[in-house]
Order: sequence, then structure tokens, then C-alpha cells
Amino acid sequence: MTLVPGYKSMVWTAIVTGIFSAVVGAGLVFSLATQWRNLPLDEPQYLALKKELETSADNQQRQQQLRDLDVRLRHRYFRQQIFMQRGGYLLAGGLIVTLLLVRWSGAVRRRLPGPKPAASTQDLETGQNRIGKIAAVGLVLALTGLVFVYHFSARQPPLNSLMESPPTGPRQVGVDVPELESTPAAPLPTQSEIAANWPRFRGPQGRAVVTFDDIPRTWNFATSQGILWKSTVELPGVSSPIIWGNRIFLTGASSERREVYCLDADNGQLLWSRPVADRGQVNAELSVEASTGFAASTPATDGQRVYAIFANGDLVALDFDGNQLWSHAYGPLDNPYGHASSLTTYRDRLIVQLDQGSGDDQKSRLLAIDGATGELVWQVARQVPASWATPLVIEFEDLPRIITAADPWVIANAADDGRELWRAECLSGDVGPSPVYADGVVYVANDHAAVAAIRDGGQGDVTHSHMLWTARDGLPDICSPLVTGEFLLLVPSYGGLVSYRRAVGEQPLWEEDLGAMLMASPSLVGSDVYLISEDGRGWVIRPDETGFEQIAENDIGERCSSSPAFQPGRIYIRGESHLFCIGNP
Amino acid sequence: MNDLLKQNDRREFINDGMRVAGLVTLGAAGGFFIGRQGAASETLWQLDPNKCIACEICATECVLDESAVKCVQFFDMCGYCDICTGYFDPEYRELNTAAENQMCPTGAVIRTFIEEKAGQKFFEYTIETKACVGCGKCVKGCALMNGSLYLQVNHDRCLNCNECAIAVSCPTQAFDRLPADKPYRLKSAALALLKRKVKHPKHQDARDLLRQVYDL
Amino acid sequence: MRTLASTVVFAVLGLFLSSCACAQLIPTPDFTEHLVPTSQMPVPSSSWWVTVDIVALAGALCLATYFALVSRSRIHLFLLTIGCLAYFGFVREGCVCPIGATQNVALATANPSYVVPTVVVVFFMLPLVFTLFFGRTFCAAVCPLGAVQEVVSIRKVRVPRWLDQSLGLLAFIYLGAAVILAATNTAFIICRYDPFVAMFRLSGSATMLLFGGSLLLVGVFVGRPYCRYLCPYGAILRVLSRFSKWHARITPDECINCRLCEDVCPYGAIQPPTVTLSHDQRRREKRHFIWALALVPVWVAGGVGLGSVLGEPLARWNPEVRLAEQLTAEQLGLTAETTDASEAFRSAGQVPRDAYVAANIIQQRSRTLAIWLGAWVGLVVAIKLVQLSLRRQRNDFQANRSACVACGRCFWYCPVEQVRLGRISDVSEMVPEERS
Repeated sequence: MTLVPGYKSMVWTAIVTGIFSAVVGAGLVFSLATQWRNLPLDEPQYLALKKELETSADNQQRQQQLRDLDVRLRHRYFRQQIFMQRGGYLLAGGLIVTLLLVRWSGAVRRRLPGPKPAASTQDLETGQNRIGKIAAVGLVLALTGLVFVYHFSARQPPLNSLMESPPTGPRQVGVDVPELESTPAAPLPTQSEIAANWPRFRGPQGRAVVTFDDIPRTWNFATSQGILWKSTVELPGVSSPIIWGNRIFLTGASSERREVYCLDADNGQLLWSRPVADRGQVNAELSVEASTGFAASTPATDGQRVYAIFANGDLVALDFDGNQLWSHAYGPLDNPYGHASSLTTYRDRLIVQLDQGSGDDQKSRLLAIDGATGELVWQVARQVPASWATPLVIEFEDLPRIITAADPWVIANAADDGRELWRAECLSGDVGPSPVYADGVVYVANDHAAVAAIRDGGQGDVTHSHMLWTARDGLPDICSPLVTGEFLLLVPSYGGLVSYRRAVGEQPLWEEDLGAMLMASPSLVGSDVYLISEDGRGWVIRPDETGFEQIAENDIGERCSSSPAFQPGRIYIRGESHLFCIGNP
Repeated sequence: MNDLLKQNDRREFINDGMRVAGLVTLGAAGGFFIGRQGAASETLWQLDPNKCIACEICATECVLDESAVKCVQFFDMCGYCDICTGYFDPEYRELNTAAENQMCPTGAVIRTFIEEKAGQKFFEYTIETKACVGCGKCVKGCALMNGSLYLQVNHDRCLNCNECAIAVSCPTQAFDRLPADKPYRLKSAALALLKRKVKHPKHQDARDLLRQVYDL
Repeated sequence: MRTLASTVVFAVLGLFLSSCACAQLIPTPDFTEHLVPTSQMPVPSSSWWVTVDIVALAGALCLATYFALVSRSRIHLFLLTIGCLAYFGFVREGCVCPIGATQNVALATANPSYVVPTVVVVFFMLPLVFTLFFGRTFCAAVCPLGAVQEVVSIRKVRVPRWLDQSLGLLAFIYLGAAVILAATNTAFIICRYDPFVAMFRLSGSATMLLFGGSLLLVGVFVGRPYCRYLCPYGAILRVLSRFSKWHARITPDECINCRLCEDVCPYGAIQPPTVTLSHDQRRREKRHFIWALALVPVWVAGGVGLGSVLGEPLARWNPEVRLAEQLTAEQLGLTAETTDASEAFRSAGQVPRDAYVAANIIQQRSRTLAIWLGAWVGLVVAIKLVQLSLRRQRNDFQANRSACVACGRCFWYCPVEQVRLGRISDVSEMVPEERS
């Protein structure tokens, strides 16, 4: 066979361009594998140097080093981008030339095939087709198998079944009431049962209105007059007592330990105390403000279980015998003073207002948890910073809802599915006082912000449509407002008492000085208001249009930051280290 | 032989029939699809800055090595702050352009002193598009303040893939297709500002931008 | 210390801003002289490309058809291949292409609100029409994906017929999956897993570059692996090409059964003449054929069964379903890690319930579609089995109309063609003595 002229040079050129392409390709792959797409300032070397510079103050030399490295890295990054781009062109070009030459050289030397003689008498096709059929079936089966392996190894199957009936459920509000009532083994307490107990912070409806009879008006620590019993509480806590039947539940915590106590309401005997483990393992770095402490949140009960949350973010559910049912660790909570928002229940659910952080960091949430199982029923994100107020459940209306106060929003969420109903902008700063509700109006207040009356209802931002009045005098920082008939009483941050007319607001009716600071929120018994100051003194007063009439002045003999709990004929007050039961003998 | 001919005839007949059926189907479908569209059906990918969370995947997911998504400054929303949270690293040491203070990984944000008023210094922050890689670090930073920086698909670079690779991975599904004659978006606040600005005869550039902006 | 101070400043700034609500912006200062500029956005590349594309496609198709069927010129076909590779591949960077257009058409069929651009419709339809009349001349020289493989196909390794036939099923299954995923607006998998587009753009994810590179490497030995075993558009063309009016032929005239072309096709499309079977064999073949025909409904039913369990994995392609799953997992505490998507969802103040409802709707729809997909797979397998049982009599060497891409490689080997071109005066010059 004679060689076609130029064949040799073609082959050689092809070899050269082939080697060239291979070199370029290797370069690209190397570059790709080593640094491609690493943004210049993500280089570990740079980060390390930067960290060093942060810790060592004003180190000129390091600073210069960092700047040099920065320039170098950026240069390298852009060089590399250009390198990759040009390399790509070169590689593509080289490969195309190589291929064309190979093809061309192949074509000029093309030779006729010399098929082996006479294979054609045999029937190969039938056999091949038969194997082909088996192969086709095999292929499809293999594919199916692959899909199944992928499917079952990819995710936990339970998710899929849940997806079909999502945990929040596409249930309509109202529709799920009979469903809820038919399922639980132990029936939920009725409204009248709840009203007969003291299941949460500030009593049945969270507004500290006492409907019980024979509440004592006077007592005396020095003479033990009116004090039925007092019982030592081991661990401190500014949380308030709650009561169900003849059981009183308390929480206490130090930096190391957290405990839930159950006392006999009749004689103050400790029935059980339950230590709560630090599940979140956050206690080591937990720091709280001294006056808030580690057990500032008042527990809550739904008549079957008692729930408690502590400053480390540990939430626990116990039965009435103190057995732990479930627990969640939400900590560490990003809260400058320590978590203090109390718990609330709605039917068989526990409502937790978990506001924390700065608001931008998306840390705040409102949770509804199934009391029996601890499973999350729903949660909504809240773009608010840390707050210390307690959510209020308004259950006796046709659409049960939860009112929360935070900076700057007062928000109403549907209790059944968490969807937001309305929000109003009126608060700011560190929101401590909890919202109260009376006759279709929500009252909120906070220091350095305002006291506001918001008509419940509406949709979306109701700041301009539903705000009845706002005022700025006598604003509280800790104590929640009290609604008394036609007045709204506030305990300002500087102590004393301020009264507004509920209907009009705008200007306070009167302002009185008690000569004491208050941490405990006021309570209303009939037409009397019960106040307990931080230094342990107590007053029973009767407010009117122009001021108040003092009915009694009492004393418990130790400091008090908790709000009292009431039962027929009894007041339970938690002091710094004791729980007092006050009653008529 | 006769058999084979017959078989061929039959096959030919079937083929003809199938071909006619195929043609009719194709013709009908083609007519249907072309007939259904209005005047402008050409669309281009764009992201909605209102939904964007500046998660940085725009920088990495684009099929182009240098992403088609880049940062844009909407100056009329900018506070011209001295302490720019989009420009400075949160752990900056001094308020100057030194490397250790900047957040942008490629140095694509340019800080220019404009003027000092009542003891307050004002700086203009411009994006050098060529250097921008679309990581959105500055966008995230700026969102703490006015949020005048935002990301957009730049259509001189975008290949308008049939399936945008960034859109596939976008966590907020902020990508969709816009008509080709209005292929850009603004934040709703920026759009309002721009609409006010175009009324002023001085601002031809604002009118130019508004022409390109998709307004629902 | 300074660092700390600055962090505090930033934190305070953040707090300050969050407290004065989102609407409150720091006002743009009123400058004494400086004019506040407005950023300009780059203008998109002009739309006249679209017209050029359509003209280029139509022209290339006509040329390819002319070269393959009339002038029978391999070199011209090859040059056209290079030209189309350069234009549709590297200049237009692989978009628009008829393969991907399949999805747009599928989506437009299922979703009336989606408007498919004219250029896409034309790109989808034109090669189909050409194929109906002239066979796969689009594959021969116009398609850039075919072109890049055509160029690298250097050394031929014969793929056994059984393997070739069974692997060919993949393309049909791929087509079914692509159409269904596109019709639900879930994903455009053809584009996502296009092996060569990253090369045309000279950039792309490393995985896709690697995938394309390895396909080309295989393609050096096994001709056009993507076209034969994966290309979903090729699957449609295969079917249509079967009914083409005119088709590229190995020989310009009567086949002399010289067997010179027998092994030259790198795509395994040249079929030898059939041998005459004995009466018994014929009867057995016929029985097999009838069995295969009878089994068609069984296969389809099996496919439906398979499809009914595929709904969930299919739905998981959808980002909304994935988000809902993530939200569920977070709610139940099955995962401690949140994703960007779930965080963005929550921070937008949306309620998970909406996500579940949306996901449920998609899942429901996916279930139906998966059943269709399963039925399709069953049907494809059944038809393949029927086809493999069907014997057609051939008296000479013929190009298999579905498999032949009209590349024209075999022309040169045909003595009759050489005579036609006047390179030799008689076929006996090429055919070895002992076999003529």
C-alpha cells in the first residue's frame, strides 16, 4: 500500500495536538481539583490570619500580612478564572484539531474490509433476538430494583405517611372540636373545673380576677394571724404557684439544679419534688439576671399534667405523681435576662411563647405542643426579639386565639392551627407585662412604650384600625395590667399605682404612690385589689374615680416577686424562700 | 418473490398511512402551540429580590463559572452610611477600605466619599459588576439596614437555559421567567421610589431602568 | 477590644433597625451637588438570533437531507456536521435544541398557561417532519449532540445485537420520565442531565463535564452512545423514521450482496439479508410472536402496578414536596438541622399547613402520573418484545430505518456507489474474485 502524501505529517500533527490537549486538560483538571470556585476570602489561610488579627489587638505587622495575602488571593482568583476560560478554549480547540486530523488520516488510509466468506447461511438473528428479549426484561427489572433501593434508602418512611395527614392537619377550625373530645382517654377539664382552680399564671383566664368567696383581707406575719401554714421551698424562683384540686405546683431552680414541687394545699406538706435534668446541656454557659433567676416562668396545668419551663430552655411535662412524661430542650435561649414567659394551656395543648434573640435572627417562635405526647402541633415564627410576657388564651369566644405581646407587635394567632389573625404595633423595648383581655378588648402595656387598648378582631395589621386608645403615663415594666370593672390599673416601673378609664384612656384618672416597688402583678377580688410589694408588704385597696381607699395593710415578712394564687378562702403567696397559705382559720 | 412483493406493498401502505397520520398530528400540534401564544412569548430567567435570602448559591450553582447573577445597587434606597453593613465585615477594625475590613470576597464593592454634612460622612457604594461573583454577602449585610443592594440575573451573561440551574436549587423558589422586554425586577420599595424618581426630568437613567423593570 | 466594640455597634444597629420596623429606611441624604445615580441593567442579547436559529435549522436539515439522500456525499455531511457543531454547539451553546424542546412541548400540552415560544415549537417539529419523509437526517449532521459524538467515533467496537436492542429501551423510558416530569413542571431532566452542553459552554459542573467526557470516551469505540441508548428525542425519531417515505440507502441501486458494508456501520444499523427458515422454525417464531402480542396487556398492567408505588419518589423531585417533608421532619424533631428553604419559609411567616396542603396536591398528581409512567414503561417493554419476535424477510443488505442516522459512512464501501461515482468501471474491481 502506498502512503498518501501528507499522511505522516498529519499523524505527527495529530500526536502533537493530542499531547497539547492532554497537557491543557491535565492543567485544567488540576486547577479544578485544587482551588476552583473557592472564593478568595474563604481560603483557610486567610481565615486563620484574620482570626489571629482579631484576637491580637493592633498588630501592624499581622495587618500588613493580611492585606498582602488578601491582594494575592484576589489576584489568584481572577487569574484562575481567566486561566480556566482560556484553558477551556485551548482544550476544545486542541481536541477538535486532533480529532479532525485523526479522522482525516484515517479516511485517506481507508481500506476495504475483507469479510470472511459465507457466514450468511446461518441464522444468527433469532438467537440474538432471544437473548435480547431476556436482556430487555432484565434491564427493566434492574431499573425497577434501583428505583426501589433508592426509594427505601433515601428517607425514613414514616415521613410519607405523615405527609398524608400533616401534623397540623388541614382541619378547619371548629371542626376538630368533637374529634378532640372523642379521642382522649381522660376527659379534658370543663371550663367550670378550670375556673375552680388556678391552672396558670394569674389564674384561670390569666387576668387575676378572683371569683372565690371568703378571701381574707388581713393577715399578720409577726403574730401569725391569718397564716394557715408556711412551707419552705428549697430552690429559689420568682415563678408563681399554680393549683389544681388540692395540689400546689411550684418550680425552683439554681444555676445547677431545676426542680418541680408538688405541695398539699391543705397543710403545705411536700408531696413530691422532681429534679429536671439539663437536657440541653446549656447550664454551663447560662447567665441570667439575678432578679429573674433560673425559674421565672410559672408552670401550667391542664388538669392532667403539669408543665414547667426553665431558663435553660428545658421544658418538661409531669403527671400529677411527678413522673416525667416527656421533655424538650429548647436551650440555649438567647435571652439577656433569662427566660420568664410563663406557660399556658389550650385544651390538651401547651402553648409556649419562646421569644429570644434580636428579632432579625428568626429565633422567636410560638409553639403549640400536644400535652400528652409532647409532639409539636404547630409553631409559628415570630419576627420579634426576646420578650418576657405570658401568652393569653382567649378560649371562650367562637374562634379560640392566643394573644402575645412583644416588641413591637401584639399578635393574635388562632389557637387551633397557629395562623396569624391580626397584629398591632404598639410596644417596644423589653416587653415584660402580659396582655389582659376583657369585653373584646386586649390591654397591653410596657415601659418606655405605651399602654394600649386594642379591639380584638380584624385581619392583618390592625394598628390603625383597631387601636382604641394609647397613653404613655405610668407604664409598667414587669407587673401586668389589671382590669377592674371600668378601670385599668397599672403598676408603673417606679412603683405606685395608676388608673385609667377603660373606655377612654388617653389620660390617667389618678396616680398614687405606695412607697414601694412591686414585682407581683395585682389581683382583683370582688371590688378589692390585692397588691404585694417586693419587700413583702401587702395592701388591699378599693379603687374609684378619684383614687383608692385602703382596706388593709399586711405583711408576709419576706421579699416577694411572685404573683399570688387564690382558692376559696385561701391566698397562696410565694416569698423568697417560703410558700405561705393565708386563710381564715 | 411474489410473497415478498406483496409484503412490501402492504408495508408501503401502512407506512403511508402512518406518515399521513403523523403529519396531521404534528401539523395540528404545531398550529395549536404557535396559535396559542400572544405577541411576546420570549421569556428570560429572573429572580425576585423580595423573596431572595442571599443564600450564596447563586454564586455556585450557575452553569457559568462566573455566575450570571450579580449584585446591583439601588442608590435611591441607600442611606450612604459611613458604617455600611454591606461593605464592612461585621468584625471590621476600622472604617476604611483596608482588606481586613471588607466583606466582599472579590473587592467588588467600591466605597467613594461623597460629602460631609452636619458631622456625618456619606459614602457611595458602587458595585463593580465585572468583579462581582454574585455571592450575595453584601446583600445579606445590607438587608440589616436599608436593603438597597440586591441580586439580579444579568442578561448580558445569562444563557437563558431551558432549566435554570440556580432556580432548581433556590431555597425560596425566587426564580421565574419574565418577558424578554422587561427582564428585571426591583424590590417593591425600590420600585415605588423609582416611579417617583422618573417624574423628575433630570433622571433619564431612572426612566431607562424603569423601562426594563417588570411591574406586576 | 475594638472588634468587640464594632460588633456591639452592629448589633445595636440591628436592634435599632428592627425596632423601628421594616418600613423605616435610613433616608438617602440630600446632597448639595452629587446626583444620586440609578444603576443600569445590561440589555439582553437581541432576539434576531431566534430567526437565525430557525433559518439555520431549516437550512441545515435541507442540506443534510440532500447530502444523505441525493448527492450521497459523506464528506459534505461530515463538513455540515462540523458546521452545525460549531454553530448550534459552540456559538449558540447548545440552546435551543429539539431534544430539550420535547419538555417544553410536554409542559405546554399539560399546562395551558405555559406559553412555549415559537422557536421552540419549530425546533421540536421541523426535525420530526423531516424524519417522517427522509429518515433521521437531523441526527446525521444537524444535532450538535450527535455531531460531537460523530466526530469522536473513531474505532468501532461491535455491540452485540441483543445488548444494542435492550439498551435501546433506556431512551424510551427516559423519554417517558422526561415528559412526565416536564408536564408537571417538576424538572427538565433532559436539560439538567445534558452531557455535552457543559462542553459547548466550556463551563459547567464538574460532574456533568465528567459525565460528558466519559460518554465521549466510550463514544470513541461505541458509536454515539447517547443517541442510541439515552436520547429521548432520538426515541421519537426512531419511531417516525420507520415510516419515512425516502430513506438513506447503502447502495444507490440494486444491492449485489457483496457484504463489503457488512461491518462498517459504527451504529450497528446495517442488517444482513435474512436466511430462509425451515418450516418448523417459522412456526416456532410465529408462536413466539403471538405470545409476545398476547403479553402486551400483562406488561402494561405490570407497569401500572410498578407505577402505583413510584408516586412518592416521583413527587420528591418537586421542591415544594421536599420543603414540606423538611418541615415535617423539623416539627417532629427527626432532624435538628434546618435547611435554607425551611428557614426562609418560616421567616416569611408562612404556616407549615399551607406547605403540606400544596405538597399533598402535588403528591396526588404525581401518583396519577407515576401510574402513566409505569404503563408507558410496560408498553415499551412489551413492544420491544413483540418487535424482537417479529421477523422480516430481507433479500439484501439494508439500513435499519430506526437505527440508521444517515451518516453516510457506508456509501464509500459500496461497489455500486463507486461505479455510480465513476471511480471504478465495474463492481468486480472491488469485489474479491472468490465471492463475486
